Amino acid sequence: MTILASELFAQGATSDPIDDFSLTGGTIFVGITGSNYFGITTQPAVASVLEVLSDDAGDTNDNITVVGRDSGGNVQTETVLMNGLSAVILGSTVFDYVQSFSIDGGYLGNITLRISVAGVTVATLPIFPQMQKRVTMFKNSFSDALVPIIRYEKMHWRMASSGETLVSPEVELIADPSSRIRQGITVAKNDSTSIVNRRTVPPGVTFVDDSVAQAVPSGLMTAGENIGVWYEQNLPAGDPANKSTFTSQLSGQDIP
Amino acid sequence: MTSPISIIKAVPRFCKGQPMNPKTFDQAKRDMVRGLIPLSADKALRIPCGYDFNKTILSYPFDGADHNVICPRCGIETSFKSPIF
Repeated sequence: MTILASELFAQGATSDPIDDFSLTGGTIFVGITGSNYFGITTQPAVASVLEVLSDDAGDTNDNITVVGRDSGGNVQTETVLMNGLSAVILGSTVFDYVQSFSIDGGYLGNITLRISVAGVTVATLPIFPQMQKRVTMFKNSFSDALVPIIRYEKMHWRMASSGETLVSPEVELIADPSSRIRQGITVAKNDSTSIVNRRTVPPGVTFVDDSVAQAVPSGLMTAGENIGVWYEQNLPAGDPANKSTFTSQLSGQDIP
Repeated sequence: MTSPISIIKAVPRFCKGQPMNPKTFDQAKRDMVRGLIPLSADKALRIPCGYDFNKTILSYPFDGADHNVICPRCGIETSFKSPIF
């Protein structure tokens, strides 16, 4: 058997803040239908109306909620009821940036959020494994005119290949186009550390940039294990608003 | 009680090395983000270094400060934030 890339999941932590005051981090999050899953695949290139649909006609009972910023930078929330294969337009909001895309129950098909009409896919909730939501990190973060602001948030990489062992796993920051992010992994697997708010440095964590690979402690990950990864976002004073990304990777080898 | 040094050493850290071609490396990174080439290319496009970066971390105080450093083996510029305990 082989460990597939699709069996290595980036998942959220239990405490996923939307402000600078809330508890941050904790154990890996398990939601209503499974887990949250980091990353919005493609942010709208320009502010756009969105629509959502399933590839299974039976998905008619669940509500989809999208939270994001409009073109004025205001946070907006819109909820619609799924209608199976028919696209449902989130017509009340023009989204410039999507912060989260969630569903309130189990579902039967792959759920796609895309630009309306039938445009670029923004994110998908896959049929397997079921995900409660997809989110971005550092939601509602902002810079200050006079002083740098540094925030910390956490996610977990989970190894989910049943019966397999990921050997020599490494976590790397692959890309950080705006040079605002560094990452530090926890000292042990299945970590539950949290911080009182995202402006607090997590103790004992060393943050490195994309030139340094970090190996998972013990050198092995078996099915169900996860490794906590803290991210540091450093916004310089007067940093202008921008839509940026960073890319993290868990890699390793498997034994045939 | 676990010492700060053993906590740092519990996570092996290695320098990934200089880009083979600095002129094309940034474009390759952008292509990785866009899904045009696999993320594993990040290593394939570098001259492997493997320097034990924990040696660098342990040479600074554990004070939460930022440091811009140069890998003593391959010369790549990098940065890190020292841990606090």
